[in-house]
Amino acid sequence: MLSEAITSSLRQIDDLELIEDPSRRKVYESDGLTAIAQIPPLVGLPNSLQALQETLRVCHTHGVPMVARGAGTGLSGGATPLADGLLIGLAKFNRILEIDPVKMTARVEPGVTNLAISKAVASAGLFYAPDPSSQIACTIGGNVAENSGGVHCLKYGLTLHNVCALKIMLADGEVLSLGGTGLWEDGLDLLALLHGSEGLLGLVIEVTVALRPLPEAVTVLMAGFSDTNAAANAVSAVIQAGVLPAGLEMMDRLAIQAAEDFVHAGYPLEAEALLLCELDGSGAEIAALSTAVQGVLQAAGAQSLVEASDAAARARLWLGRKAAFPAVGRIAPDYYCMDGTIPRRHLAEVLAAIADRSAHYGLPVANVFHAGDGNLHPLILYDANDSDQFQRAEAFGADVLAICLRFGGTITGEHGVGLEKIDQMCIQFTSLELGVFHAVKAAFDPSGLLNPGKAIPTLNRCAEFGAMHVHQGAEKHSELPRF
Amino acid sequence: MDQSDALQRVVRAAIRQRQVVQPGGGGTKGFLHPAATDAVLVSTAEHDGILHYHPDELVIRVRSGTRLVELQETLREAGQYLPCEPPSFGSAGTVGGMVAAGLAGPSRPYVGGVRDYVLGMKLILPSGEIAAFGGDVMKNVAGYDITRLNVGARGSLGLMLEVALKVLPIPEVVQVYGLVCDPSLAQQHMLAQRRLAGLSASAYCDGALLVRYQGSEQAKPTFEQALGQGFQPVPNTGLAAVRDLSFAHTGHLWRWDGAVDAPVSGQLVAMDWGGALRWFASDAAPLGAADGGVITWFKQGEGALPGLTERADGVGLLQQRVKSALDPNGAFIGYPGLRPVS
Ligand SMILES: Cc1cc2nc3c(=O)[nH]c(=O)nc-3n(C[C@H](O)[C@H](O)[C@H](O)COP(=O)(O)OP(=O)(O)OC[C@H]3O[C@@H](n4cnc5c(N)ncnc54)[C@H](O)[C@@H]3O)c2cc1C
Ligand SMILES: Cc1cc2nc3c(=O)[nH]c(=O)nc-3n(C[C@H](O)[C@H](O)[C@H](O)COP(=O)(O)OP(=O)(O)OC[C@H]3O[C@@H](n4cnc5c(N)ncnc54)[C@H](O)[C@@H]3O)c2cc1C
Repeated sequence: MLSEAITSSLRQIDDLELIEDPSRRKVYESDGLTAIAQIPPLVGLPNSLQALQETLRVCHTHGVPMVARGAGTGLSGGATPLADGLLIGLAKFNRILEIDPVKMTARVEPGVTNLAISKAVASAGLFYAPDPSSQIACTIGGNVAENSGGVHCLKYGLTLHNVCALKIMLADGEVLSLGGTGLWEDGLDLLALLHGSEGLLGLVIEVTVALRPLPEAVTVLMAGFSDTNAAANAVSAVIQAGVLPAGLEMMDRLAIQAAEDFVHAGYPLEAEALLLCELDGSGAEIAALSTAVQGVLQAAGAQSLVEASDAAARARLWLGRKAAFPAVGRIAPDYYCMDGTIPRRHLAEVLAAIADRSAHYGLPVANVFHAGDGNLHPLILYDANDSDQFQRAEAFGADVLAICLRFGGTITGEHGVGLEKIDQMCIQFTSLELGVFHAVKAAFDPSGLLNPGKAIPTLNRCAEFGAMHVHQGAEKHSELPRF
Repeated sequence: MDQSDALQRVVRAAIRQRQVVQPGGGGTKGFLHPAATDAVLVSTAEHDGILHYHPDELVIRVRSGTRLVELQETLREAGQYLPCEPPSFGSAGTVGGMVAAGLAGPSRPYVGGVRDYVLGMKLILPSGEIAAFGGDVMKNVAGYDITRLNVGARGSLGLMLEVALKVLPIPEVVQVYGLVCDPSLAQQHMLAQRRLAGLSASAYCDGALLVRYQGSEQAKPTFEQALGQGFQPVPNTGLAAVRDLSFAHTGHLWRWDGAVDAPVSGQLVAMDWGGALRWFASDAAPLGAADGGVITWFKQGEGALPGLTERADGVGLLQQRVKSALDPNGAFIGYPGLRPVS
């Protein structure tokens, strides 16, 4: 609860819409991780930077924790409200401030949706490359905070690689511009540090994104395989051949079937695994490139191969992949989306280990995979109304993260830690490394008011979780004998 | 050879004796730290070797003392390369030095800078302890990005022991084209050519605009046609002068970072990054040429150094808070002050 004194100070701020009515506050109770919900005591929707700044100052003065929220599509509980904090919605900051076709940049407010940027610059022959599947809804501010990816990351990089400058507001209201005047700024790279900081270091209040010329020609190949191993080897073979596809995605049997039932993309239902490979380039080279990659896929054992070169056919193939989460959502009451990244050479072992856990917990799993960059999204199917299933799903999820770490991967490739994976941070990092994160946090937000309790666990929390020493011993040097 | 223990011992001894540590690799870029300090140089030169390399995953992990030339040779044998093309000053330059210097070559606007290709690292922290951040995978958002914070930090936040890098396949064709012209005509071409498919460098030095194509054989004629009259194929080594700063100049070297379409000042000695990076050479700071960009000092010439200062704007102060938070006792050298006193 927030005190009346604080609430009334906030009421004084011009251009700040306050949501006090409980039923309207409920809308904000969770992000995309609906398993964790908390109705915020108060929601503030500032409509100007000045209102935002005054809001931060009031909270800072009174020691009120703050949680930033973009569109609330995050999948790790980053925007989950706090019981004693203000939820600050940034959706009203939805203007595109400037499109510079010469520099190929767009300067936008944080609440602009990812897709809105590409739509706005298309007439200038440009696009913004990172394309999370949630792109119609998620905001660029949220993308920066999570360092979001999409299906085009292998070639074009993550949010981090496509942002040239940021304006941020610190917890006390100070505004800073990061990124310099050109392509390099002297001193420590704070621009990089803000990416993936999950709203803990500062609020993103303006983003300058780098745009790219729309490719002249694009084609998508779809290959079906009789086992996932063969598909994984085909991914390696494509890259070994010196090709860098714009997108390289894999789905397993259950994901293929769910997507096909949902959107009728024309996926091969008999396949155990499916690869979608997008190639782009100039008109003069695309045909030769496509022929070469088709040869590689065939040599790698593709049982079916389809090419979609016109825009409508390509969109149809991608639709199945991009709608994979909701598609899986149709075949079970609930699904739990995991986000580990692994060195791709271990894919077969990781999938086998996941299948083993699936049998152990008696819960099916569908796998969607950003194959080019090793980012795996196992979707665990369960029924949240059955508390036993819910607990099994959570335990299964924790096992999946541990499996990713065991094979030299990470607990999150693009969805962030949030509340969801905070305990697993104690497995991935030592207390020493967590101490480095705490030091960074203290430099930006000494009073610890921005999104406390998310992303970086306290050492106490890890001690309770009891995993710190397991990490040092069993996970990191499992090859060494133990006495 | 693995020297982690030895390096850690040296760093710890220096910390105990309250001597400031300056990490060093091949020492090719000592010029980056102008104010001669009484810091102990802790060299990674013996701490070398490739730890693993998986060409089909586009990832390589090396010890920090590995020579850049060795890394580049290993990659070349597998048909891959390091796209940020760091400058090379002879054969002594190390991977740790490249990452700590964070200087990217002419391809920076097109394929990204050094930090865009660094995936993970292991380092000796200012406390003397060893920690690891990031990893060997392309995507990793667990914890703050301490890895990339160390890229370009010039050894001020710790001594890197290992670095994992993302690499890419070597393009089928790489060809540089040149046009002799003055800087302002060069800028006109640079602006007009920004969207050419396959453009991977656009730089100006020693009186010529140099434009590089990289891509497939099939798409090359389209690129050549779009370049227009007057451009001639030239040896690819032409760009090395801009990358390695070996173009003709006298006096201290200053860098200017700003917008590609900012007016070109006649005093510049070279341009890179399609005009977003410009080089000036003079004994005094070329403050008059700032024009919306930021001037930083880069390298000492013959004469005495003019006054330089750390940035004191809000961002500079936050950078210093980050440095003090990560190195509260000042065990490692500071990030050198690089801005001219105006
Ligand atoms: C169906 C579906 C598909 C998805 N597909 C992908 C995908 O392909 N790739 C991918 O990477 N992600 C994906 N996501 C996850 C999610 O869309 C991204 O994490 C997205 O970037 C979140 O943006 P948002 O605006 O919804 O942020 P929110 O959920 O509102 O917030 C996310 C985090 O960012 C912080 N935050 C938000 N705005 C700001 C700001 N302006 N300043 C500072 N901090 C801020 C919040 O505090 C929170 O910690 C998917 C989600 C769904 C539901
Ligand atoms: C005139 C000249 C111009 C140059 N211009 C460029 C250029 O524009 N771009 C470029 O990339 N290179 C440039 N260099 C080339 C440089 O040699 C290479 O990039 C090389 O990799 C640097 O490595 P080094 O081992 O020699 O670094 P050193 O000179 O030993 O160190 C460079 C910096 O990195 C730090 N450092 C070194 N190793 C570590 C480590 N393991 N951990 C933490 N910090 C470390 C040092 O403290 C120092 O700040 C230039 C060299 C010269 C002589």
